[in-house]
Amino acid sequence: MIVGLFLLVTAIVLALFSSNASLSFIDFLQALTGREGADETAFLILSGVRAPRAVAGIFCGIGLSVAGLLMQEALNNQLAAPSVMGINSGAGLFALVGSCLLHGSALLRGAFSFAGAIVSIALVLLISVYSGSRKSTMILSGVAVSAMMSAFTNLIITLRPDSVSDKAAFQLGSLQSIPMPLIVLTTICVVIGTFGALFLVPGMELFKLGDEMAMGLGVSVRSYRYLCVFLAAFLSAAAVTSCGLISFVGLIIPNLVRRMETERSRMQVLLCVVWGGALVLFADTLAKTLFYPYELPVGMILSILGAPFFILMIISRKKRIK
Amino acid sequence: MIELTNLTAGYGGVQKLHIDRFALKPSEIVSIIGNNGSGKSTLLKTIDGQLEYRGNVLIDEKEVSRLPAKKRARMISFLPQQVLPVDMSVALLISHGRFSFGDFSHTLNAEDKAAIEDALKMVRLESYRQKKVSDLSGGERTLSYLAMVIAQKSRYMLLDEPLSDIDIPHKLHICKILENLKKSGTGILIASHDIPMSFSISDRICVLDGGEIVVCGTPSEVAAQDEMMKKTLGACVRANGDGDMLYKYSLYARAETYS
Repeated sequence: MIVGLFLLVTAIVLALFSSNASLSFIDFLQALTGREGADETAFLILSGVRAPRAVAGIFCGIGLSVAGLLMQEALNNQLAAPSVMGINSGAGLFALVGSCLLHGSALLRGAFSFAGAIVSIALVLLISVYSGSRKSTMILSGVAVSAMMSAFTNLIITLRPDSVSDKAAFQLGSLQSIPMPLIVLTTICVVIGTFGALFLVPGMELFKLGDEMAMGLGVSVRSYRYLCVFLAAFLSAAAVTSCGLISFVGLIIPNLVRRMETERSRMQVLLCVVWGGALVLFADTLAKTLFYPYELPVGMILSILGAPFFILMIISRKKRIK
Repeated sequence: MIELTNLTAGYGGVQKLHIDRFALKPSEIVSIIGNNGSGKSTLLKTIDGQLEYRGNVLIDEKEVSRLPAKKRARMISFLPQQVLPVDMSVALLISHGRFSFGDFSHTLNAEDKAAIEDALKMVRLESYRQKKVSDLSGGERTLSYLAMVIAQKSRYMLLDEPLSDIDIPHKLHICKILENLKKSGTGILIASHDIPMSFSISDRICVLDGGEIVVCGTPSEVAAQDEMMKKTLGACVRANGDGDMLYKYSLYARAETYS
């Protein structure tokens, strides 16, 4: 936890004060302290661009990682993540519809992607209810809904190729130029969702003992599981609304947190909060500075760095089991 | 008291269980014996409210299907046949037995901590509290799960094959724990394949065949029904005569049973 907090603070400092060609670290520091003679441009960049972007990054990271943890615990499957359950592809399709076909603004795109994520998970839950409410069916339903949503997205892109040119950042995940109302929406929803997760996780610990045992201990397994998956969808919908379709955070952070020496799932949620926020913010700082003045989508950086790290984690786990 | 009347239950619309009348009182151990697929686990799950049913399943005069999950868990505890080697400490596992007593914050109060300590003492796993359940032997794992359901402090306990796949010392230890629980007022219903042990520790034995209770009575009454036992279980049960023996009954099966 202490390491995570240190990384989060470092990530915030780097995100706020990393220098670029025209402004130095000292300029930003003076702008923050409000000292006389401080550069006004630095203050404007800090308050109008970097701080909101850092807030968006932190809360997107928190939303996605807590959502991943909720899904993995509820479905007893370490591969369950918002992207696997069709949430990302649903949000992507609706965002495309919102911004391209209806020529909507970024705000409308955000609202549409939120709706898309919720519609996707509602479909998954509906299919699951009609097919016996098993954990495996829920994941398979997620994969099917995800494939369907992606197919519709590709259909729109094929029919309207011009519509996708400026949407690449959203599809790959980016924290660039997010409207303030969306950042506020994401922040509020993620805070509510994370508190909800803190109250739900003690019951989810019992899922590890098997459904029959959990029922015997007083968990209403079916409704509890639906509630957890829905809350996870709510959190990831809130995140993708601002940052686009970032897919790796919800998979990697819960798996990393589970390897830390903590048994209590409430502590795991708090670790997800710290590590998830730090990871996305670090990745965003890299995305901004790596090829300055060009900026990469943060989702791309996360995948490039996240995939090898995840593979290393799997290999080291196998060694530990041996 | 747990009372079942005109009960039919099963999975996916197939009614596997048909029971006209059955009761379990507090301070009583009843064993359900029967071959594989006879409906023992189905019966236990139905009483625990985990399966849909027709008829009545009353726990202290309350219909189990109408009880909220937490209230039900405070009245009746259930240990399934399969206990998973989970990657959590024994102390954390046992603390899950107090889930149904938790409020919204799910923090352990003094009463919860006392119940956990009592359960640990009862199963004699005090020195195991920080050990991982996944690192325990089969017998120790069963004991740690048993401690968890003991911590539930419910009046009735349903145990599905608690004596299977474990060595004799652990079996005897579990039987002693069940005796103590019975003396403290707990009604215990056991589904078991260990017929001699079931006959040795139970107040009543019910034989289940094809989802129906074919006979229910004291161990000596059931053991006396040779023909029925041979027909349903393929073996007879005989009293050993020596009242001090832990296995008070033995199983006899003739070779022609297998021909």
